Amino acid sequence: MILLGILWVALGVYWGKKAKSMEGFMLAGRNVGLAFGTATAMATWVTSNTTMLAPQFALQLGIWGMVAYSTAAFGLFLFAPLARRIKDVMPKGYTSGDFIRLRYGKAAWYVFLAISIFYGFTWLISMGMAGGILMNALSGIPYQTGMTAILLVCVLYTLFGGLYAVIGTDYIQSLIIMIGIVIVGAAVIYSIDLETVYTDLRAEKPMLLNALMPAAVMAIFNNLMFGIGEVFHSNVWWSRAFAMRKGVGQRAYNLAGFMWLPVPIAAGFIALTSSSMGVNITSPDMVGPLMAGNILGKTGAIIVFIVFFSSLASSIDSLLAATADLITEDIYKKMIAPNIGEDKLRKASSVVIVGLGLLAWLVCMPRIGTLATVLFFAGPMVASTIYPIAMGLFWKSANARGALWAMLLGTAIGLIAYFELGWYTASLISAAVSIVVTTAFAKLKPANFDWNYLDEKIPEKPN
Amino acid sequence: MFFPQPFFKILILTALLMMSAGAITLVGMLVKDIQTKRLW
Repeated sequence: MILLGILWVALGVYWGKKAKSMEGFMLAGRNVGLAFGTATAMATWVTSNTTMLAPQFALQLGIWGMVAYSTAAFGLFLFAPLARRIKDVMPKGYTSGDFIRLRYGKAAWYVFLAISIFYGFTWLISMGMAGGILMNALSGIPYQTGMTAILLVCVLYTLFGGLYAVIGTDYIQSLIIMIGIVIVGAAVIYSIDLETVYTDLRAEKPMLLNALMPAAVMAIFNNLMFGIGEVFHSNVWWSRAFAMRKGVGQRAYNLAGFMWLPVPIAAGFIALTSSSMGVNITSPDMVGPLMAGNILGKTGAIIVFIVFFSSLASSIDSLLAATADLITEDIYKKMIAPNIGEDKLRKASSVVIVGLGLLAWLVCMPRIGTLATVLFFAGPMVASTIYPIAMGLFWKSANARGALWAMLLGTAIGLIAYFELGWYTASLISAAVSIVVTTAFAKLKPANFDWNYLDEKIPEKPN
Repeated sequence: MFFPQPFFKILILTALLMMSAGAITLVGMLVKDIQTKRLW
């Protein structure tokens, strides 16, 4: 853990030397190529939630659970054309908040920022918690110590290197994740026959092989919508679209989608072998590291540790950078200090990164709920932003009121569904409300938006 | 109705194969970007 921590911080300092301007620090000079662009999208989307929740999904919802998790890859596939469009219409944009503000005006912007920052912070907490759980499961390090270490390392290298460091380390981390999961998966297949696993599951837990398990089928569509919502609204993905060289974004996101698609299945199926291997699962979100350590012994535990550490770091760094950009650019610069100079803005950005890390650390200290509970609470909120964003980028007729009500009603009704029906329905219902409201407003009171107003150089038009 | 055993096996093997191909593709893209000086 110490060696990996030193490596990431050293690389952060090294790449940080390239970040001479605020644009370099926030957007890596807007000239990122295909290899780094693809790797950063892929690695960022492989979070602790993929490597730890996918086995949990497999254990609770069976084959459909793994496939359901895989559908989150469609977030990347569907964002690909948006990445191209974003680069075309907002060549000088900085954040997803910029788009909502310029496209829909201030009321929708405030709601969007609240959703986006809440989601970003929830994601950050779920990963900080995952870091602590992982360290504890694999090496017995106390939860608080492990969680503190991973947050500290990520804060340090994001602070020194900005998006250059985030994207550079993401490349190495994406390779580690892919190679590591393949090694662990191959070792599992080598140590136990898949036919035996299937036969044991059929005898002991037949529900996991049920092709018509209602909750699991619902989870597919819910996860699909949650995944799309997460990617479409989050500044993590928008900042990468702005950072990639013109012509790279669409290809990079498509390639990243194909590379991500198999990860939940390759990481999740290990949980299904637990019965055949005679491993007792004490906590569902620890099933991944527990199984890998059990099958592969000490060497395997080290490989898994490095893979998990990389998947956590690749997402925590992106999230710190992107959420800090949102707070610095949209709240501090646009609302509080519009005439602030570049040096002061850079300092403010550093303070925000440290502050976010500190706040996440405080919230993570008591281990609250399971990872799924924490994460899926944000699902209906982000799903409500899908259509205001997608339609706002392509339809001139999408209007401000439609966007505002789509986000408010989608979130409210989605949250009611979360509590009354179950987490696996919330995002789906929220997205459905969002599309109906956005479309209805666009058809009944169509706007005639001039795309040129998305370019920040032109004065803002009242919407 | 249960997923058939071959489906279970093919699903897992395909996932591992796709991940291996992904890692190789990523290295190939890096080499190309370095050669054409289009890394960043």
